[in-house]
Amino acid sequence: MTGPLDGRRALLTGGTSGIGAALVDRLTADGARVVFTGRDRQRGTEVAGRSGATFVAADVRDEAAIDRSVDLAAQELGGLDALVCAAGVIVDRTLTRTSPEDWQTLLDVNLTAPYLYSRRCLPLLREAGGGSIVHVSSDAGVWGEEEVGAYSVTKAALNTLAQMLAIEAGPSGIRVNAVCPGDIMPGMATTVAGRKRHAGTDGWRVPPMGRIGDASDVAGVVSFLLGPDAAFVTGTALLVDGGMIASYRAWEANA
Amino acid sequence: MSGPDGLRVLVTGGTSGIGRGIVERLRTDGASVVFTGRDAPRGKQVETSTGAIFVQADASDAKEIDRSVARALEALGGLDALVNNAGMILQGSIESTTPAAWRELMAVNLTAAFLYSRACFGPIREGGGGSIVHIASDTAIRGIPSIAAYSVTKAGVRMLSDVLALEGAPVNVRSNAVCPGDVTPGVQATPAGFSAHAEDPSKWALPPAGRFGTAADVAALVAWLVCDEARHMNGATIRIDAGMGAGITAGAGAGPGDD
Repeated sequence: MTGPLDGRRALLTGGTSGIGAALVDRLTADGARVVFTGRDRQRGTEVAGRSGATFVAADVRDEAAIDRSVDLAAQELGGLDALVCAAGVIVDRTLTRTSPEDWQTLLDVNLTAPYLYSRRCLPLLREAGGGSIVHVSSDAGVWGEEEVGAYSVTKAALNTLAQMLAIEAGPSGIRVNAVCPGDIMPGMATTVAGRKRHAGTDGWRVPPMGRIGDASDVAGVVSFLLGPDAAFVTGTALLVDGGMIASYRAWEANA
Repeated sequence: MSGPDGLRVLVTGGTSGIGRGIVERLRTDGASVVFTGRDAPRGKQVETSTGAIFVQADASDAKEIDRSVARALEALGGLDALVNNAGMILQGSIESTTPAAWRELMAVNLTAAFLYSRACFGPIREGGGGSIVHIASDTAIRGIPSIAAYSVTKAGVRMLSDVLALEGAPVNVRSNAVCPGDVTPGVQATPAGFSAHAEDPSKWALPPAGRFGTAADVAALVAWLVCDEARHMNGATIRIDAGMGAGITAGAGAGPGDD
């Protein structure tokens, strides 16, 4: 099999559902060899079965599990060319209605885990002579959303993390980008509290493209960012939102 | 009422640097002020010189945060404004930032801002509305790779201010992010195990205006933002950096053809 990611060795976090699972499917279809993490063993086994990728059970809130999953991936793949951090959680609450416990979980999963994974993988990517890191962020990190207040905070910080990493890793031939999806189905199935919207798209605002995004829309962009055509693309926070932010910013939403 | 006269304000991290400047300015303008900090001797000193009330509290400790808010409400009989100023800094890249230092930075710069905002939002709203000011940083707008993890926390603070502004608008609680550039004396605190932030302005690029900022420069902006006169200011990110962040200065290397 040949594809744009032929032979690339990739570690992906949060690959058992939603955008992460679509990423495992896409990256393997594009020729990459993939190890992916997740908490749900049953779903992990399913995704591994259909894609040929290797599943490693790991909770990204557990620093030792993170280290272990990186070691296992490097061992299984014989090195590493790419890291995709897709694991994430959301809480459907405004900032002041977010509990301190949920805040900490959001911070740990959406921000500290991408930092820990990146820091741990940079030496491996350097050993490989370069590589690519993609952080799956959110349009809420570009323009904040009241109803997911704390989530927006973590994603804004994540975009800056990607930018800082891009600057410091650039000289090693390592590119780092964030992708910022808008409303996507299937989206975030893993929740902490209060998540209702993933049951369906009723009541969702439709972006200018006239449809809710599909996880494969995001997967295509991530595949591009990992591949040779993106050789000069680093430090960006790329919106994959069907024009939603452009539309909100043009006041259409509030008119 | 137009100035801060009579306002009841809680300032976090008021024993040194910008925070101390804010306490001094608000007291001069007639506000009643409670301020927090870790260093008791310095706190007592500022208390004596300004007449503000010092409450010893570590911003990395959720219990101490709750306790200090309760003390402020008790001492002031309510709250009109919160200034989230406590912060720490760490030199270095993301890769050189240890997990322990990362977590401490997150706790003090980001989680404390959340916890203080969360604890004060209700009391400010119940008092008829008011203002929350976050001392972010110019790194919230454009990150600085030599203080990379710090920049990440400040980008978070900026967004925290924005989503709080959306939430507070209908109930007259305003939230704004103040983003100072190079200020002396600036932030001194660092995560455990790191020596105090070696602030060496001689190594900084001098703003075109020919001087670095002072705590008083920042305090003047804060003193206005907490006032009713600034009632239309909400969800704003305000650079206060003498123009350093306005764009790429001529001669900075962005020549014709590469942009």
